Amino acid sequence: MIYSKDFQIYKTFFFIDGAPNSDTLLDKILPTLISVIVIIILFLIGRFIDKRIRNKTIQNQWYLDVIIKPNAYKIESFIKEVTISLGTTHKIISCAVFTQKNNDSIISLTAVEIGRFQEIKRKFEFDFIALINSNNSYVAKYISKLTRELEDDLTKHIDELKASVCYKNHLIKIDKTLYNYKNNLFKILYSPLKI
Amino acid sequence: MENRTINLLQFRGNGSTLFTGRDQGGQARKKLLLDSNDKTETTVSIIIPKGTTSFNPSFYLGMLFKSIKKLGIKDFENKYKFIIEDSQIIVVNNILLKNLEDAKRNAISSLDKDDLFKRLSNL
Repeated sequence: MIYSKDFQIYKTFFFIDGAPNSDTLLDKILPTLISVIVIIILFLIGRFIDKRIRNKTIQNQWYLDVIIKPNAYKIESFIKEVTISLGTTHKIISCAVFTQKNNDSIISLTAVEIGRFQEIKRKFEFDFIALINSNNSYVAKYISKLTRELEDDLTKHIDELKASVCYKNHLIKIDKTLYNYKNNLFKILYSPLKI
Repeated sequence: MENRTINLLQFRGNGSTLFTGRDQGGQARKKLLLDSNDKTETTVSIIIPKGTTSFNPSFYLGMLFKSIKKLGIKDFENKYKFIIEDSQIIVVNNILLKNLEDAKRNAISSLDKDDLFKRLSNL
């Protein structure tokens, strides 16, 4: 029977048709040794992966139980405070416009009302965003960006009140802006927990 | 040392009393050629015009974050000075100065972690 060279090497390596011609100890134990090494490597890789998964699970659980759950109410409080503040702002500025106060007075009032909203925003940044940052700066960065966009939208709304004739539309816009903010905020907040 | 004065009135929208939007800040930066300004020793005085009700962090970051990143916060503050035209104490102290503090805080936290340590240690 004629064997190809490759098939002969294959047979020699896997000890088909009996032991090879050479009788060294290494040749006898080599396959066992290789099998053991492969098993050990696979075991170590498995342990490493398990450890990573376990750490990630612990980290996610901690993030949920210590950071999010006890502090989620701060988001609702923030939205509520902003809504109440903007309702007051709307009354103050519309009254000033209606009583035809001079332009400088209206601008000053607008600045004060914007400042009032910004104080609420600042408090939220210190109470909530800073806390998130201590655990996950990536999430905190996106929440900060979202909050800056909210600030831009709401300060524009307040600025437009001094020239507005339809205040009801403004209140609807503000509600929509806050709803979108809250929605996006929770999406970002829960993003690290996604599988 | 040369000093350059910039009045931001041209970048406040028509009928608006605000400075908002990162993109708008970026456009202001391009128009004022601040990238090339940062390569020189020229100091810059930025005038926040009278009648401004808010100077939002988004605009500040759009206009000046690149400068802060390039120069570091300490050198940036030596180079760029803000002048508030409004004389009303309520507006200046309670609102615009706080806006600038907010903007600076946002800028510092936006820097990379490694850079953040370096910048804060320069404060």
